[in-house]
Amino acid sequence: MNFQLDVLDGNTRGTVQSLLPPSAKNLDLLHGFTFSSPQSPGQTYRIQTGEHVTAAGDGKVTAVKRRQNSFRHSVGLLDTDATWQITIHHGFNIYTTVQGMATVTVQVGTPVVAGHDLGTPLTNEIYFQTLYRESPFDPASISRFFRAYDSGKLPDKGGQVRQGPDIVVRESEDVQSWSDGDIHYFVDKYCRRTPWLLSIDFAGTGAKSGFAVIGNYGTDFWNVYTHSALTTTTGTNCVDIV
Amino acid sequence: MPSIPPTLYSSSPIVQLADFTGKLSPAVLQRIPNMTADQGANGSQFDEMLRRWVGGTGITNTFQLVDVLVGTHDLYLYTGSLVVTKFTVTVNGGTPQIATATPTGVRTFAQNNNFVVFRNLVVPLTKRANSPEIYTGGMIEIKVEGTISGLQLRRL
Repeated sequence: MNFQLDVLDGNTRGTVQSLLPPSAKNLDLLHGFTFSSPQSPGQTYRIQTGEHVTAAGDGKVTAVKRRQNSFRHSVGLLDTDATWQITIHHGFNIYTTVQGMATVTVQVGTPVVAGHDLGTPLTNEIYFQTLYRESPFDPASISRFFRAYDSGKLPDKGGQVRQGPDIVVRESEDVQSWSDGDIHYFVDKYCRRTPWLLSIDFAGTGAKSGFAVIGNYGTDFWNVYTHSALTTTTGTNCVDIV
Repeated sequence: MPSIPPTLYSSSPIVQLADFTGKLSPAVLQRIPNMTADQGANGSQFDEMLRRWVGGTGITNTFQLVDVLVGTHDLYLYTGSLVVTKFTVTVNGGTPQIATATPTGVRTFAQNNNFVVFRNLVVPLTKRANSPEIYTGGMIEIKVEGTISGLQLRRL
């Protein structure tokens, strides 16, 4: 990094602090920003299935490029297939890039607002960078929105960053809404909850948690079943007192 | 008045279960005698749950999930061994359903290989007593001829 974050003026810092992660649902932070080996001059996220990539803030698209995926990612499709990278200028020399997309909905010059639909990811991993002029910097050093939640305080969201705004068009059904001033609430019409799930690890050690073929969350609890022989014998009748 | 001699178990026949949040569930796992202590392990399995199992070749173990919540469920049964395993599932003593896992050591979850699934098991409300009327959930019996490493029961 060839500049000091603390020299950024108020307008520049304020622009960074107005940014939000590029998805309307919580993202798992897989690799944080670091210049130590292996380098990651940005953040790699796991995006939830079916979610679109969104603009981190208001601005204008300055580049749409198809590139190899040189960022840290899991082994798989991203090793072989190039993906789209979108760069947005948010003002005051602050840029963001997001890469890992299979489809894009914007082109160079498109004005965007926070939450603008940018396209869909190729896999469930995307890469996000914040840059001052052309130098990448860690957004978590300025904005708490890019720091992973503490699992001690939010057990269901440990390791995730905050969701961004959402102006992605979605199909919905069985939803009812009501307004409280400027805030609109949307809830399941039938008050359905997360499916009830029971999991047992036979002869387990307690190390198993989260998903197998199915699961609700990465923190799903697994019962440990400790096996032992089970036989029966017939006991003695109680003595009847007459 | 004649008295019935009690049955003495060599180890606990009942395991209390918690749901995915870790909160205690009304369902319990009941172990049906006779069971041997046979079990095995393969530390190189790709999933933590598959690394150990209960049972073995030619061994049958029967478990019952008792007081399962009323509703429609999918039941996933896993085996991490290389033992061909036949799973027989019955809901409230109804018609048995059978599925066989034929493991080949694959490095991902593969149906009828390292897991089988029984879909849309309907667990009805069950009357346990008449006076006063007491209703509970249902019972799912799982007979394992071979080995079992894990179980997941999801209410749809």
